[in-house]
Amino acid sequence: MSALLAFRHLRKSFGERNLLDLGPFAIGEGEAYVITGDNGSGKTTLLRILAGLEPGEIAGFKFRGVPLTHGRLPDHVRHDIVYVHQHPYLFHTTVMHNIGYGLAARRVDGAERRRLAEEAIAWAGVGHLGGVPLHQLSGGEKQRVALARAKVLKPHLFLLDEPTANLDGEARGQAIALIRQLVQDNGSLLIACHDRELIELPGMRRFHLENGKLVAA
Amino acid sequence: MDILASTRQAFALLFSGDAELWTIIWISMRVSLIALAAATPPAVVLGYALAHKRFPGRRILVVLIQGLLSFPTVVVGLVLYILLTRQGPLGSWQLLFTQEAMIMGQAVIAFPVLAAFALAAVQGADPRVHETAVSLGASPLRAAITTLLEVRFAVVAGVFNGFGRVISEVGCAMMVGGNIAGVTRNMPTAIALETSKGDFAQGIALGVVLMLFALGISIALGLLQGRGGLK
Amino acid sequence: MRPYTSCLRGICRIGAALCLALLAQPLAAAELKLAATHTLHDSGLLNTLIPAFEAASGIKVRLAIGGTGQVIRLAANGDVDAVLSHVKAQEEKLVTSGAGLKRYLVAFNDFFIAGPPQDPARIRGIKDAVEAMRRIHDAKARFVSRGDESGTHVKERELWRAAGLEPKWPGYLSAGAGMGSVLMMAGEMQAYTLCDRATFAAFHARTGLEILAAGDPRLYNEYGVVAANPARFPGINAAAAAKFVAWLTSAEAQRLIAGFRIGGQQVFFLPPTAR
Repeated sequence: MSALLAFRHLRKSFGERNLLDLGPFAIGEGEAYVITGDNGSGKTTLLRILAGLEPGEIAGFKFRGVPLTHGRLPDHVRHDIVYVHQHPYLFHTTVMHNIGYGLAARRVDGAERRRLAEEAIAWAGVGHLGGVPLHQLSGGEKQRVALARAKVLKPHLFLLDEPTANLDGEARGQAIALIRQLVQDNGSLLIACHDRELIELPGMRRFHLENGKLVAA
Repeated sequence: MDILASTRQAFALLFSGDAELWTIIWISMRVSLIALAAATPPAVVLGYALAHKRFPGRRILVVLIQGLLSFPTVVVGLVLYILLTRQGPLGSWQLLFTQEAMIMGQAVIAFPVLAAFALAAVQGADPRVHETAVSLGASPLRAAITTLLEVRFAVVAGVFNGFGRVISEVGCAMMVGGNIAGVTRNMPTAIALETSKGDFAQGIALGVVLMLFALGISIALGLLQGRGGLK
Repeated sequence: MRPYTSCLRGICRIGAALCLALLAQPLAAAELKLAATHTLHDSGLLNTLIPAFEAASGIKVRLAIGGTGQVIRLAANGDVDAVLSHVKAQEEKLVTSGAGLKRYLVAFNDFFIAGPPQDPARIRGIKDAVEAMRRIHDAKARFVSRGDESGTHVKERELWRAAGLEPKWPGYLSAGAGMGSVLMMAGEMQAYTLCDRATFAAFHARTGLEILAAGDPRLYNEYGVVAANPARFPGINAAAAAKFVAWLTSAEAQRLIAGFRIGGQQVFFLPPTAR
C-alpha cells in the first residue's frame, strides 16, 4: 500500500521551545489513526499544520507519492485534505448551504450539489434541522453537520480535531457512529483525541504524541 | 420671525408635496446613495486586505484611515475644487458645480468610515470562519466573500455610519456643488441658504427630514448591533 | 469669618458693576452696526470707505454683508443702525414704513450682461438689455442668476418680465449666492450673468468673462443709505448712524468714491448734485 501522506521531518517551535519535533512519518491510503497525547502535547497543532492552517517546518513532504512543498500545495491536493475544528463553525446560512459549500468551491453545479448534499444530510441524520437557525444547534448537531460537510467532498484525508471532546451521551454516540462509518468506507483519517471508544474502534491504529515526538502505540 | 408660524408652514410644505422641497430631498438622496455605492466596494476590499494580509506599510495605512475618519470636509472640498476648476488638472472634465462633483466629494468623505468599519468587522470575525472556508477548498476570493458575509451586519453598520456622515455634510457640498437650485442644492446647503435669507419654513422642514434620517440611522444601527451580536 | 465673607461679596459686586460700566460705555458710544449688500463689499469699496470713516469719527463699524433682501430685512427689524443697498424702491419703503429716517443717494453705476468671449447667444454690442436677455433665452445658453432676492436679482427679474419670458431652461442656474461667487461660477461654466460694474471689475482677472451688453438706461444702478429710526427702535445707535450718513455724503467720502479704481477704471460715480 503506497503512502498517502508522508514527511521526513516536521518541526514547530515557539521561540526557544520545540513543541513538535517529529521524525519520518507516513500513513497509507485507507488507514485511520488516532493521535493521543496530553493536553498541550501538540495534537491539534500537528493536525492544523498538516491542514495548512499554521506554518511549520516540513521536509520531504509527499502526498500520494508526489513530492510537494507543503507551504504551497496545488489546489487539487488542498481539496483532498479536509480539517474539522474541535468546535466546528457553521456559516450563518442553512444546513444545506453549509454542506454544499465545499462543493460550490469545487464548482460542482447546482443540481448535482443539491443531490450530493441531500445524500450527506441523510447520512449524518441531520435532515430535521433544516429550519433551525444554525446558532441554536447543539454541539452534537454541529459536529454531525461538520462531518457531513467534510464527507460530501470525498477527500482522501480527514483531519478531525477532538471530534467528541465536548459531547456526551447520545450526541457522542452519534458522532462516533459517523466516524466509524468513515473508517469502514476505507477513508483515511487522522483523529486527535483521547476518547476511549474512538481509540478502540475496529481498524483504528494509534500514534501517541509525547514530548514533541510521535511513538507508535 | 415667528418660529411657530414658520414651523407650521414647514409641515404644510412637507405634506403638501411641495415640488421644490422634494427636489432638494431627492437630490440629497441621489447624491449620497450613489456616493456610497461607489465608495463601499473599494473600501470593503481595502478593509479586508488590511485586516488579513501583512504587507509593508500596513500599519501606516491603518493609522491613516483612522485619522481620515474625522478629516475636515471643507478641506476635501478645497482639494476637489482645485482639481476640478477650469484651470486645474481635471478642468477639462467640467465637473465643478455638478452633482458628479458632489458625489465625488461625498465618496471621498465616506471612504475612510466604510474602510475602518470593514477593517474592524473582519478583525472581529471568528478566526474559524476563514479557516473553515479555506479547509473546505475555498479560493482566497471565495473565502474573503464568505468572511465578509459572516460579518455583514458590522459592515452594513459602516455603510449606515458613512451615509449619516455625508447626508448632512454642508462644507464640501457647498464648495464643489455651488448650491444651484434644482441641480446641486441638497438638504444641508438649502438649509444654510434659507436660514441666511431669514426664510425659516423651508429650513425647518428640511431640518425635520434630516433629523428623521439621523433617527432612522440610529435605530437601524441599534437593530444591527443586536442581530450581529448573536453568533 | 462671617463679616469678612459678606464684605468680600460686596466688593465683588461693586467690582463687577464697575467692569461692566467701563466696558459698556465706550462700546455703546463708538460702535455702528451697518448692513451692506454683496456688490458694495465684493467690489472692495467698503474696504476703502469703512477705515476712512472709522478714522474720521472714532466709531468702530460692525459690518454685516448680505443680499439686498437680507440687509433690508435687517433694517426693517431694527437689527442694524444703518443700511447700504442698491434697490431704491426698498430703501424708500423703509422710510415710508417708519423703519428708516431718510434715504440719501450715495453713488451710482450700471449693470451689464457679462459672458464668455465666444458669446454663443450673440449679444455682443447690443444696447437693448431686454433684447440681449431674449437672445440668451432663445439660445438656451448657460446663465447664472443671483437667485437671492438681491438688488441684482431684482433687476434681472425686471428684465425677464419686460421681455415677457420665464427663465426656466436647463442652462439657467439659480445660485443663491453673492455677486463675487456668482461671477466665479459663471467664469467656471463660461456662462452669462447680470452683474454690476464694480464687482465685475474686481473679479475680472479671475473669471475670463467679458462685458457684452451694456448701456441700456434700464441698467442704471443707484446706491442709497438709510439710517434706522430711533423713534421706532430705541435701542439703536442713532448718533453713530447720523454721523455715518453725514460723512458718506460729505466731500471727503465723495472724493474716495469717485477716486476708487479697479484696474485703473472708475467704477462708482457721484450723483450730479452733491448733498
